[in-house]
Amino acid sequence: MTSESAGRAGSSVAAPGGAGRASGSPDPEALAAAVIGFDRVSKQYRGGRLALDDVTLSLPAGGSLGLVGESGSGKTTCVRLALGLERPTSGELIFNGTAYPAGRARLRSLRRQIGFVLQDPYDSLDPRMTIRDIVTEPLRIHRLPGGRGARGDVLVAGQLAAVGLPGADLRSYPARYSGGGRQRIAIARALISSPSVLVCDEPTSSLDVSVQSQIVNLLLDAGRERDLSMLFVTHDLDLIGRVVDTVAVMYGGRVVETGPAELIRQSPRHPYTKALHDAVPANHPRDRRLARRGAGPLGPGELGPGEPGPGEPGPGDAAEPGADVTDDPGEPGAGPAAGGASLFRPDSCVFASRCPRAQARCHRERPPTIQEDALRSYACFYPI
Amino acid sequence: MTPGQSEQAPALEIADLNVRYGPVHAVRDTCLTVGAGQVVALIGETGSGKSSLALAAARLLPRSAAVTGQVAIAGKEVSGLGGSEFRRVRASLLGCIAQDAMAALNPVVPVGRQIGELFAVHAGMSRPQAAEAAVAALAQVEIRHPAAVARLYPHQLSGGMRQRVMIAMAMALAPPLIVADEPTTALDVSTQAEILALIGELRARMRSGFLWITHDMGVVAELADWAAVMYAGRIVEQGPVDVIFDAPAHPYTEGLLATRRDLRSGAPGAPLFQIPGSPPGPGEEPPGCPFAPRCPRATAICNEVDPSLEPAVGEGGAGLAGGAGSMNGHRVACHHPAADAVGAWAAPAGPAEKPAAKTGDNLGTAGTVAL
Repeated sequence: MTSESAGRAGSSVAAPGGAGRASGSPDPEALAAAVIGFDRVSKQYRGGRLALDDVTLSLPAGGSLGLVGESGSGKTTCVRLALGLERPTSGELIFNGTAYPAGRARLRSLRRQIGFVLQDPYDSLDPRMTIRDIVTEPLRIHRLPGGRGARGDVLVAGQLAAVGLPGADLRSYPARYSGGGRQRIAIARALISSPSVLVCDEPTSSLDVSVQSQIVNLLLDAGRERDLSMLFVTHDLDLIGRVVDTVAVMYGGRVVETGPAELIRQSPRHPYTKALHDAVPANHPRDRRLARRGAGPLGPGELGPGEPGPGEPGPGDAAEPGADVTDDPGEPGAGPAAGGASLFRPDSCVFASRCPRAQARCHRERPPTIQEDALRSYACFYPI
Repeated sequence: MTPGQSEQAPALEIADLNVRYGPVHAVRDTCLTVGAGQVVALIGETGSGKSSLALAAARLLPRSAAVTGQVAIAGKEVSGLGGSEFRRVRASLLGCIAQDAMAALNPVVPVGRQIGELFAVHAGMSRPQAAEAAVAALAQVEIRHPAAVARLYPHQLSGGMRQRVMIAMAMALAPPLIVADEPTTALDVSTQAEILALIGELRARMRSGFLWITHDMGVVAELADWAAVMYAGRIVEQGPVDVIFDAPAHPYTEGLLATRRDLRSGAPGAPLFQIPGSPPGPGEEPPGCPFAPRCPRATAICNEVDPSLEPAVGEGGAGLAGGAGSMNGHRVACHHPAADAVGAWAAPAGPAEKPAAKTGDNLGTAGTVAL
């Protein structure tokens, strides 16, 4: 079993014996122990779109959970719920063993515990605010010391140095910085209120290749040093395998497979997980296999007119970090809803219409989540 | 260094191309050839000049850009043509695939009519003929129910479908050259795989050459015959794609390949391989090699003399890329090109092995300079 080695190297050191494993199983104990837990959460947007369909997830203290999936899979909705920007239609969100509070003031205190880094560093930093004001904003919102005045300057300078921007001009504006520099500023802001959880929504997908590694390494270091629990969302299967202990693969608003990152990579059970892996381009021209006749791993599939478009709008649009975010239902996103609810068949497997292994049963019955062992589960009648 | 073996004129020949936006020298002294029917990957990051180069080749740059040098498409010199003259021949010479199909397509015209317009204007077809040809073009890019899709507006299509429509438009008149600017970057990985499969299919049927801009070495591996790597406005290395992957000579190319290899094969939780620092910002032109501040092999000369693009023979003249280098067109702009497959970043002190904190410091210093 490689599950041991799949653990994030630092987490067991930082929290000896304390770092449990994230899980997708509806295990009451796991949920009770979770920093952030989703207990059979569904989210329906106006217009009937079911963005999340009975999702159970848990992020244990000191652990890391990765959500991977394509546009419209529901991963960004998970982020919005975890940040308290939205409320679930049904099911319950759990923070440190208790339900997410309903009141604004108490929700604010919860948000102090959750730092976040969003996809687009060009959108998520207010261009009219100085670096100093951006980084200290969470302190002002949460009425923590250092939000204003000289003490804040020292704090910010230290924070910027920690994210690789030593000596940065505190009175400069985001426009002076490249994408990587902006994402460093966003990380400094996320960490300044000393959160216990860091939520990262595609933090590197808009960055250049050579900058992506730098930012991921920074996040890994920060997580380790501060013993953060991390919820990491990405569409990049290779990346997720490097960053988190446990991966939940999402498709069409459901979690289709959960398990240790390494096992998800090496021996996927769900056909969708395998298809995702197969769609990743080769590392060398001699291994090329996609740009060939009939090579599309999913085939032209059911992507009929009105299917989801790319570039799901992250919560970045509405969600200024720590800013006074209203519980705006927000941009429903370019999820499958754009095309209509037809993709969502409560009485079938969401992946059935594109699945090479699908049989009649998959089209008329919803596969239950099967708990293979303590770490691994999948929702498929005919697993690999 | 013409890579194509066919007697046909190359799809694209660029010689001594320079692009300047005021004081910013975006592309400098660039030569690049796309053989007939060949896919040439133009690799680079933000600000490397790859888009400027491609747009200059397609003559799509605004007037404010100062462009010098020669551009020939399918043997026809187009850099000397006047604006209206070029517009007349453009559609028959080249097609373009943009990254953001939503922005590139007209939102208020059904996609079938947008494609049909090409046939009506440039192939002299009647409206009904053009409409029929448009449906055929959609079928060509493997869109199911093409007649129905032709009546839809861009916003009614998925990202992958819109990109197929873009490809159908680009290839409608079977031009010798197609310029593709990161056409799969915004797509999901499975949609990207479908588009790559489609391009593989179309290549077998048509003779268009592609100038394919990307920053994804995986897409390069899947698609390209030839690869050119840009950095700070220069092509720093180019050659047959196998050679570039097997024996990259420029430390930057090595770093890009190592980043990708490491991402996939590294241990969970281990630091990712990283190239420290960041590229020079627009308008920053330090003397010497632009990659020197980030380069593990840099020496004094690198900070003084900007290396020119030369046949890759390795420093000792006998490396892996050696003898073959000059024959196969592999060229590199580096004072210390890799002479073997070990490369610049494999040294024990390479960033992958460095303690994370130390790498962070590196970054910081480089960051303040370049950001």
